[in-house]
Amino acid sequence: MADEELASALSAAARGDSGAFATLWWSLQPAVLRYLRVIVGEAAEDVASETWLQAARDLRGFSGPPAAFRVWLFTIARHRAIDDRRRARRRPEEPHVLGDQDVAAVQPDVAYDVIQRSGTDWALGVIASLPKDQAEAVMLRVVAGLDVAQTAQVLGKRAGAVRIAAMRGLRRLADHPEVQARRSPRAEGV
Amino acid sequence: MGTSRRHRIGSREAEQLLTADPHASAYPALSELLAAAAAPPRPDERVGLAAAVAAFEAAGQDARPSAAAVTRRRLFARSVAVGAAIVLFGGTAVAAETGSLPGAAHKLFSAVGVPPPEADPTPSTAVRHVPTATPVPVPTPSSSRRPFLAEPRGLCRAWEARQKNPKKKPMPAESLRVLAAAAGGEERIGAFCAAPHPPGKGKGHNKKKSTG
Repeated sequence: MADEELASALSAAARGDSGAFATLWWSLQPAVLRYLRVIVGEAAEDVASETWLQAARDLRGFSGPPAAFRVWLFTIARHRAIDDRRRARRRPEEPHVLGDQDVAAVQPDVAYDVIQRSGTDWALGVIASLPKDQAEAVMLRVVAGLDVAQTAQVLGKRAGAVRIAAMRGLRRLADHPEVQARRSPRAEGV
Repeated sequence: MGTSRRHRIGSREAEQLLTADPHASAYPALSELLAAAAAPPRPDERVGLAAAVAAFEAAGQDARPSAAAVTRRRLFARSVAVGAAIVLFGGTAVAAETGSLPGAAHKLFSAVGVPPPEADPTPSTAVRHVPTATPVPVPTPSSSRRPFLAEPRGLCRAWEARQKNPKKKPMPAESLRVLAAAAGGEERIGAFCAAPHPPGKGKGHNKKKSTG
């Protein structure tokens, strides 16, 4: 959704308009979900719900443009994700349920895996295999649509560090076996 | 497998990959991955709208105080204003004018230690301890020889004079704030000052009842 459309929904939601809030959620939940999928895997849905719960509580005091809202929302999502990881670490007895991306990591037949999984799920799984800071930088730039400065705000980092993390992430992605497997023989490097 | 990459992705290329049209990319497979990550939303990613909206509406309910809480807050604020007025004006006429005091006010006064009608040397101390819903900055008397609160009725006189003649110098902000707190709001000062004051004092106040 274009920022201009989001702007009016945002100000209406800040005044308590639940239809406008639904518009915001409709527009941004998929991106929030995908970002969380990469950093907390299976807990993505739960953490996304917690994110919107906090946003719902604090939205009535929010004032700012849509870009600021996206920064704010993804910052909340990130904090809730960190909380979730802390909670998960305190429960070592709980068996770790293998998610799709875990299976992918051990799946010997890369080509099979690449064909079977949907494009988006596959892509998220590959990005999730990156070091955390690189995965986050790539997701916030590409999926959340944040620029360098906004990404830096969410991550609490300097812009330079965000650029470097994203660049290293892309290098790793370019060299990833599953990405290489998807390359058509005629394409890259020719 | 195709040939390995010619060179490592640099920062400018990274920026292009992150923002540019995937079809023009020098790294098609990578661009395809990024495009897949950012592909249009799927229906299964939009499950849960109703729950989210319900949470939003519930949050709105929590933010709004209950009717009882609003009433309590109003009574408390009024009792504080009345308390401040009693400390300032040292009389029961104010209480009479505003009707019977809410029960909470009595507890408040005992806690504050409202001085008897005879002038207390440091009434400002008592007022400062009043827990107010709206903060009332009371000037400390230390700097002036005669505490500003030693001439309480001067506040109303000053205000009324200013109303009659806007050319006069405006009241000090703190005086106005204290008067507004006593009146229960700046817009109520007129009615408050017009109310009859303790017998024997003040002149020229008109006798019409305040509606505040």
